[in-house]
Amino acid sequence: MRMTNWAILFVCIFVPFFLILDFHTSQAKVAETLNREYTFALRTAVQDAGIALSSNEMQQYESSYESFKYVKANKDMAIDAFFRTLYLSFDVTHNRVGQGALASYVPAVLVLDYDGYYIYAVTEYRDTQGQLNYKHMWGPKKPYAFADEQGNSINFTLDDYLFAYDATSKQWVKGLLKDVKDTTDIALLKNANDFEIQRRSTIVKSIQKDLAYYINKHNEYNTHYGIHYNFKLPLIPEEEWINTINDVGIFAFIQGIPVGDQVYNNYAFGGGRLVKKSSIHGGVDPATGYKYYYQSRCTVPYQSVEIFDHRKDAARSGYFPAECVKQ
Amino acid sequence: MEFSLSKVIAVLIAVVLLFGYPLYQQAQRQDELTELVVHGAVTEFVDAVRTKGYITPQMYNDFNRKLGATGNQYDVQMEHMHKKYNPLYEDPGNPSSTFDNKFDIYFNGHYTEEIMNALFPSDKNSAGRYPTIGTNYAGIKADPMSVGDFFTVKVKNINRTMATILRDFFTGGNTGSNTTLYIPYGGMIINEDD
Repeated sequence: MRMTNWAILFVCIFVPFFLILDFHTSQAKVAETLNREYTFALRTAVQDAGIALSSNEMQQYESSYESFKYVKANKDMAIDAFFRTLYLSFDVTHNRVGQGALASYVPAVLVLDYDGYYIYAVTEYRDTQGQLNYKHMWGPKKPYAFADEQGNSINFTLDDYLFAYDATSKQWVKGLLKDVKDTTDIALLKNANDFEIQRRSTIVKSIQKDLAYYINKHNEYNTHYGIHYNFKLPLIPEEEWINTINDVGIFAFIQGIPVGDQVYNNYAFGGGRLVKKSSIHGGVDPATGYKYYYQSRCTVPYQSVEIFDHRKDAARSGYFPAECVKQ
Repeated sequence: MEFSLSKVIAVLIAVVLLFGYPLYQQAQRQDELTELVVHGAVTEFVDAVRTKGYITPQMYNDFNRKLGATGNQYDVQMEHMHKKYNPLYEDPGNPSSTFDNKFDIYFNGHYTEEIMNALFPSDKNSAGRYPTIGTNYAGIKADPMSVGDFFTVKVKNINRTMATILRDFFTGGNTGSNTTLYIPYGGMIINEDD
């Protein structure tokens, strides 16, 4: 055979392998691209949900002096913001079927409140016609509860505040650890270090257990929709859990969306901490008579006259910005 | 003459493998890189708008320049949904009818045309900015951008990219739509400009 024939033979043998390889790499690239886009969508959605979580309409639920971490989680606003943003980024805002399909890839959303947690997951219920329905719904609020061998039970919160039942004196106590520990005989409360360790492990364990349950349960429902993916709680590093349970927040999972020849699988956490807003004081410099505005924490030699919500209002009333040297 | 057939085939294969395929691969790489750049530009722009709570012509121009650098033409759709709370009266036309302490939520949509008119007003002396204060270009009272609103940008290419042309050439097909890249991205406004 001539050289050209050998060359053609080589190409014939080589090309099928090459094409298969090429197909796989292009699928991997699609997966990579979609992974990036979906991760952005999920993170933004969770960020928005975290911000909506701290929107509050009741004065008595504002964060108070007793605890900085006390925020009443507005879970309904949060889940609304979460799904709205997710729908925008997947472009299914005006597509009910698409929304349903996307929602079925969300096995669970967890909202960490100050003294308990909620899980938003698919639940089955019967409607008024007796029809069996599957829908994402809020579960009941579960406390971070712990019981020791003596029968004492303690409800932890995200900080040192606690509710406890003392089995020996048969009394409920509540308050910060340092205030409560001398009034009861519960052994765990005597040592602040043990308390902290037990608190963290109780919170993480109860959340993990419930999430694993609901995510597993999601498998059952999703076989009805033709999604063949084995939903399971991803392995989340210990450190991430510890950071997660530091504050009120929202934790969302997306699993099983097909991307290329792989599946998309991710989770994200959004915090909902309120940032304290400091008020703006307007004062007069007694030496010169000039009017200055400054933040309330500044030490300035001015005589405070007015308080403003915003620097803009202060400037509008004729106050100059003051140099805030010492805070 | 039996060898000339194999020669012709060999030349054809050589042309395809040496020129056609690398060219097509290169065009595909370009599309992938374009996707990367456009996705970056869109997320940056949308996140900037979400965290600032307004759009300036500068922000829009920066965004547009990044898109332009990819060498494609794009269709950019912007959408601002302003959240409104509406009290529910038994008869909305009659303020003295029963009000049972309920409200519903709806969204006022503001779209590309309005936003562009606000950013680049026909009156050259006025500085462009969205949201407009007062009335918008159509003389309707403009909505502010407030926390809880939603802002979305959808970008898709409208020109036929090299990769599409080459694929059609090699396969003898005709891809109906020019769109090879479509990026919707949006989120909630999390800060207000005040």
